[in-house]
Amino acid sequence: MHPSAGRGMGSAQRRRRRRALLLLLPAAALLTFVFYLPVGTALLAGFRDEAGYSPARFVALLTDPYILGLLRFTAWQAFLSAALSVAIGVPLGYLLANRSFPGKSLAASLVMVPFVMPAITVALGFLIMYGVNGWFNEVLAGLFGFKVRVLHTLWAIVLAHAFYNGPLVARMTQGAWERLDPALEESARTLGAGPFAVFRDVTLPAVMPGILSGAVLAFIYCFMSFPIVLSLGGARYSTLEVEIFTLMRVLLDYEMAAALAALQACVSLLFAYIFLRLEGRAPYLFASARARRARPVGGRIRDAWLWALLAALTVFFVGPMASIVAHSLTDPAGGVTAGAYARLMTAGHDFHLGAPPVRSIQNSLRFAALAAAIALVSGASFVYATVRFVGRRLPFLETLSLAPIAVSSVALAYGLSVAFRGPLQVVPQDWRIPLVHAVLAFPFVVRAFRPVLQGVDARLVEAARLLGAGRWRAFVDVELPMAATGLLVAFALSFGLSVSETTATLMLARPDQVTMPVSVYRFLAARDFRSASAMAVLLMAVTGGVFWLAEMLAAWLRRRQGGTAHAS
Amino acid sequence: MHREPPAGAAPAAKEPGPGGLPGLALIDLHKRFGPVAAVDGVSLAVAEGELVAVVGPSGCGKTTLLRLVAGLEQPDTGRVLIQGRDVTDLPPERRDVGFVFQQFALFPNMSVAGNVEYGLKRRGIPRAERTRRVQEMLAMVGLAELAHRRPDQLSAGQQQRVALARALAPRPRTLLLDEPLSALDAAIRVRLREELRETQRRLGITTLLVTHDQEEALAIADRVAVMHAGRLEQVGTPWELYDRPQTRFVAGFIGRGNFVDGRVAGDVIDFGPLGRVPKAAVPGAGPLPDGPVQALVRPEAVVLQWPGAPAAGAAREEAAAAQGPAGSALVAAAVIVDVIFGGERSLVQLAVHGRPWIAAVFGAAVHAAVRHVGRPVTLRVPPAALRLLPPA
Repeated sequence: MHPSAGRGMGSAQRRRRRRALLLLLPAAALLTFVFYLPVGTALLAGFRDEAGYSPARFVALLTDPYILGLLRFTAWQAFLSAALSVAIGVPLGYLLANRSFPGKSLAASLVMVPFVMPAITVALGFLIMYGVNGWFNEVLAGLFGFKVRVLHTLWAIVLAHAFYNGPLVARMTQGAWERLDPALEESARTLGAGPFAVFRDVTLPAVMPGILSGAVLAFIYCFMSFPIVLSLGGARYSTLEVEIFTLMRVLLDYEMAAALAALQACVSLLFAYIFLRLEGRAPYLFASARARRARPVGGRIRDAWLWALLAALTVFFVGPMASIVAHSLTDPAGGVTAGAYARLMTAGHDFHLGAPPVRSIQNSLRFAALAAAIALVSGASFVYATVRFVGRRLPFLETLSLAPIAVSSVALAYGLSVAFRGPLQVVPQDWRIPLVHAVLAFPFVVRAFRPVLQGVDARLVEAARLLGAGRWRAFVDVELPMAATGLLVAFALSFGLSVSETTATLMLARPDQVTMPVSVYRFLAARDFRSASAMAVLLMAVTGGVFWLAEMLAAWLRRRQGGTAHAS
Repeated sequence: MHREPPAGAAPAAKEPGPGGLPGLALIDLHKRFGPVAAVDGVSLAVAEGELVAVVGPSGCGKTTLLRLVAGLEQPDTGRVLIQGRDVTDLPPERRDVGFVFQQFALFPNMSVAGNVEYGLKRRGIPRAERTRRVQEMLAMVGLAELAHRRPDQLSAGQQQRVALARALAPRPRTLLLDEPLSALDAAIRVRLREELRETQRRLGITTLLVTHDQEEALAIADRVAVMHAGRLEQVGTPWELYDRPQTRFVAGFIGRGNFVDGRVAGDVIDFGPLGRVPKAAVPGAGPLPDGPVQALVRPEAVVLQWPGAPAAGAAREEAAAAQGPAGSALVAAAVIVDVIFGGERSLVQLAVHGRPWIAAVFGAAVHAAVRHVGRPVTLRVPPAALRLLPPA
């Protein structure tokens, strides 16, 4: 305990507080100027009328049967999507935490790639795979003699959402499962519990918080989803976000759009708060130092369903991506060609894009590097200040830091486009999109880095300081090496998110600032499926490559640190 | 190489349980993890109601042995018999064993009472009976008033008691304890190991305890099995292991001691500068052929003589012992390096011909030893106190 009022400790206490505030500064500046002020201003428009500000429009929304219907459908599809994400993510998380199988390390390092794929790419993959003449239906027709209509149904939306969020649930399930002390399950066995009873009484209670927080997060994303609903659902299905987009871009009714965005933000922030409460609960009680031994998926009958599961998961996740690759290599005249790639690399000014295609690749990489760096610096210093200098959970501050994922990206982009023409004019053009991406990546950096830093025993820092290291030296020598893998993951995630971000970029980028997902979008709008596929493949290669590289680096770091990485 | 079952293992076979069968029998168990033979041909019989401690350095395979008994690991070959019934192919939940884990592994999502009740529930015991048994078990370990606490609200010592109560509640036929006391503070460890011993005696439950702490093993076990590199080196009562270790490893692992090298030549054993003793005066030396031997001298067998005591000058006596005919004892000039005070018994560190020795001194001799630190003394070892070890 720190004597907060002790006169003798005054200067040390003041120094601590000054350091904490200094560390919080980048995050505060980023979130305030690039998120809260622009979005707040935009949302306030929803409460403005002739007389000044009033909640009238907001209240009117809540009694409008059309809006309530939208809200109901939006929540219903998000619920179904979260449920399917759990149904897919939990078995995958089980496999990653408990079993070994061929290709596991590759699967483990690439499992988050679907999560950072641009919606437009996922939509393209789904169109090619599940279309009436897509290969999924061809195989179905060949095997069983019937086809299923997937596209333009609720199921297309739900499947695509699960494609996104299944990996998210899997990661959280895997994390909780890996932390579970195997001795707990073993002691239940010795007390007479069969495998099912062990699962019900020990495993499930331990893993449940992880599954639930994954499900809540998936719900939030699906509740906010926009391009997937627009492209795969067809005209019949509309969500709040689609309605906000329509109001804003087509009907130009900014006030109505703002009020709706405020309503949407209320719902998703509520769920974000639930997510944080769930996350803070129990799982650490089940933690152990003993590592779980991964059992191989074997050749026995008992493991047959696991092989079937692996095959189904492979088809589900690899299918749409492979479809895009295949499509990009198909020659319209028959056969295989890399022509689409050659065109992308050599074409000069493309009039759909408004810039040469290669330019969009350069832009994406440059923006992503800058965005990831900004997100990492602000996010990591935010985590550092809250973990090391505050030392307790601050649910309100954490909800605030999570807000960028809970606010309509259409509203965010609109608010920013206004702000960049007004008070934020001073921000140089080339920094605008990276700053927006950094805001969107910020919550992920916080989530990825916090548990890692919490895992570094604060007493190690004290030991280093007693041995003569200054606070900064102790950080560089002790905490940084131990937390480096967490920072790498956070960097890869931010990089991937930036490379794939579409909505805000589409609304904010000048023609020469076109990025890879925007190019995919423009190629699709121009019905140039092959160029769109080729660009989407390059996009997947970039995100997959970054994740893979981060995983390799992390593995190398762990090896270099030797035995310290895993407790015995 | 497979060791003959040592003489110490015999008593178990002579104390038959119900139906003349041992409470627990392990028959030639083998378990490999990749290239490592964790358990490499272990056979052991534990009598009904007996407490056997398996002791050895970390990584010797003792925990794996315990997990094989519980069914948490499957042996590559070998059988596990509980009261004569072959349980090798049964899953853990059908072996009827109680297991206490090193870190206790209490269910964090259940109360103390819920933890103790769990095994009873899984056995389908009716609620009324369960409630009664939980109260009884918690009273036994003195935690009745903490029944509704959560495990993370308990001290380590209380957690250990809950873990024991939980393991014993279903009245298993065998109790398996994996380092049950190593997570506790030194003071509470000694008290809890006595409680553990008393409970085990009272219930008369066949118990296998695994520990790396030889003192703990010697203090509470009926018999101790010393394990090294996947094999049992020796099994016997604590006194047998201490007094008649059969391998160099056991001699070094159990208790403290001094090791001296010698050579059998005819009817004497020559210990170089320490002198020669008649072969017939050394226990167990009779059948030894000529050649090198090693002997263990326990600290309490070392006799120290202060200068000025009736004995003659040490150097002269030593020279006589080394050159003359076989003497009545090993004799050497020594220098006291330090005295480690230990209450009823203190240890004296000595230098003998440049090598460290230890001797135990009792009572008033401690004062004398402290006064002579840094000064020469004479050291004697009667030949009857020598314990010959097979050549390493």
